[in-house]
Amino acid sequence: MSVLDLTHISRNFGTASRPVRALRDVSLRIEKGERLGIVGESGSGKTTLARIVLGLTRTSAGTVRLLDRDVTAHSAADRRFIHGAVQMVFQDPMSSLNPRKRIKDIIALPLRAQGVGTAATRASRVRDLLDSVGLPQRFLNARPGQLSGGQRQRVGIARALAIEPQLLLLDEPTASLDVSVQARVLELLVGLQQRLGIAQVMISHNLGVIRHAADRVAVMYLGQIVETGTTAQLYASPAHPYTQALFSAIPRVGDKKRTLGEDHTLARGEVASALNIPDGCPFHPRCPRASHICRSAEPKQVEVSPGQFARCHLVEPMAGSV
Amino acid sequence: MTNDIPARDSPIAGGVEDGPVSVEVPAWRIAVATLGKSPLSMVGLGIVLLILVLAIFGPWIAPFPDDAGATVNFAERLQPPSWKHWFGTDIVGRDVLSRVIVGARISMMIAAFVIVLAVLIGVPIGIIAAYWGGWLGNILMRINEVFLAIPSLVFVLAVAALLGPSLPVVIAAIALAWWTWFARLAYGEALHIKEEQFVEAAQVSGAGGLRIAFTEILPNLTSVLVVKITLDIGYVILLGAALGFLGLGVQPPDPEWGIMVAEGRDQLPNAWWLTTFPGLAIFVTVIGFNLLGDGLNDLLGARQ
Repeated sequence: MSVLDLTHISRNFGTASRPVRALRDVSLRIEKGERLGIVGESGSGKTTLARIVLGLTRTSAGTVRLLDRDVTAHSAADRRFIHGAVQMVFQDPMSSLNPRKRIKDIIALPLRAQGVGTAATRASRVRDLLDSVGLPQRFLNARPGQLSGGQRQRVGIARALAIEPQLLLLDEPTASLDVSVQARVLELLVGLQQRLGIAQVMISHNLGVIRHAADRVAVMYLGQIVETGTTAQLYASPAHPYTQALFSAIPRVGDKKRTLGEDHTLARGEVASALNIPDGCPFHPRCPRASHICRSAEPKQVEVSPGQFARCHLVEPMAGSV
Repeated sequence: MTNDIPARDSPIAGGVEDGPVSVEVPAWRIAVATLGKSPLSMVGLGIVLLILVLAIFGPWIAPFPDDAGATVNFAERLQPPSWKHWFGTDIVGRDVLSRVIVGARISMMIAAFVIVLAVLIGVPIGIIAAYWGGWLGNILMRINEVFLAIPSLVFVLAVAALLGPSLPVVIAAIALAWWTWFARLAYGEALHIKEEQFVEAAQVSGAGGLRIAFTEILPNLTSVLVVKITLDIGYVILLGAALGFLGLGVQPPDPEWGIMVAEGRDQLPNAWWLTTFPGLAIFVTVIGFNLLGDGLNDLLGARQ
């Protein structure tokens, strides 16, 4: 049983005549205990995908199955089921905690809202959660304004863990933190994953973070997944030119020869608008290797090595795959 | 982040992030210290406290408490201010100072009931309209605009004329005219607050609409509401006095400030004290609540 199974998800915003195509035919599957990283530039559809999984946005097409239950329709019962199984750690630990509430009430909110336990059992659960995210008990009565960014993000993690979710979404959980604090929040997440075995989806455009926090990576471009594979596969041999461009943009310490701009794999120009997606391969205007077929036909997904798929005309399919 | 102390090794990956909670200074001490820097706010606070003391303890403070009612003492009628009667006496010989002091209670009572009612009606409507939006929000805010379009004095006059002037009618009428301002304010603020990530976090937590509206959004409205309430108390007192003056509010012999100004009007060229002192009481009270409201606005606005 997969924790999450998305098949052919699409989502359009705006009007029918001028649709903003935020997601186009996205299929994803997350198994129990798996950690999936989703990378992509701003506007690639990462946030829309997360909102669909959380029950905050409906799909235009496709089905969403959560723990073998079809929750595509987002009925009231579906949403209750989703909120009981999926929780989220937000990007901005400043605005994701209500400044007027005490830490203990913030962490207890999912328990209270979903009617879990009695006041006493909830209070002891909150104390345990503070322990497990490495915050001292004296923070119970503090307010978010009294905590540092890293501490606040730990409160956000504790809140997300309160109802023991099966799936944890992490939206750039470290983006607004200092580098030193980032590392510790990441270690916390890795530790929690090892102890609790919760499936995690981490959305990030920080490839360094994804490398540590994910077993598998999905690369998104203009609402599509252009490449998926294990973290090892993608970091060792990215197949799609966009993935290659992303990974070649990671600065490496001591790598004197490579300077930004010289590398031929770097993507040129800006990401196109989801209002006006290019014909053929959506990446072709920026692709250094684009040929005439890329301008006319949309590429299908091909398996380049076991478990690694890319949507590109130029990659060689693995022997034996269709 | 400067509070962070490097993590110690701990069995939990990530370590204990044991930065000290910043020392919690009681909010009221910050408030007093900040407000203290603004002399005008302190004057406002002083006036408001004085009016509150008069409203609560008036009958025990007034030198001639019986004069608040329908007593008559023709021997001392229309006396100018003196050591015995600081504010003089009225046409039937009642002590004006005592009537002004006891009158504070009526004005404050009108203001308190009106504001409580207006907040109880207006704030939930504003928050619900903002959070749910859609057709419900539209209906609520269009109703609100209909009420806003009618000048409050005209509306209150009409209601008072229709139902007959009495204290409960006046309070209900002003409250019906006043809730719209609180609905408007709460609507605008809630529209802004509902975009904060913690509202989305509450949705993800499984919180329902009412819980989000009243436990997530409402607490973030308290500072603007406190400022608005303080300022509005002054304006409601003014409106109450205007109604009294027009004879459609509280009825004689109750020592309401507006009625006292109206009664003194006939004697104006000679007995100036009959209108001047109740008028000053209205003026000073409204100014006091305004100064305090402005001070609170600076104080609470700066902290957000």
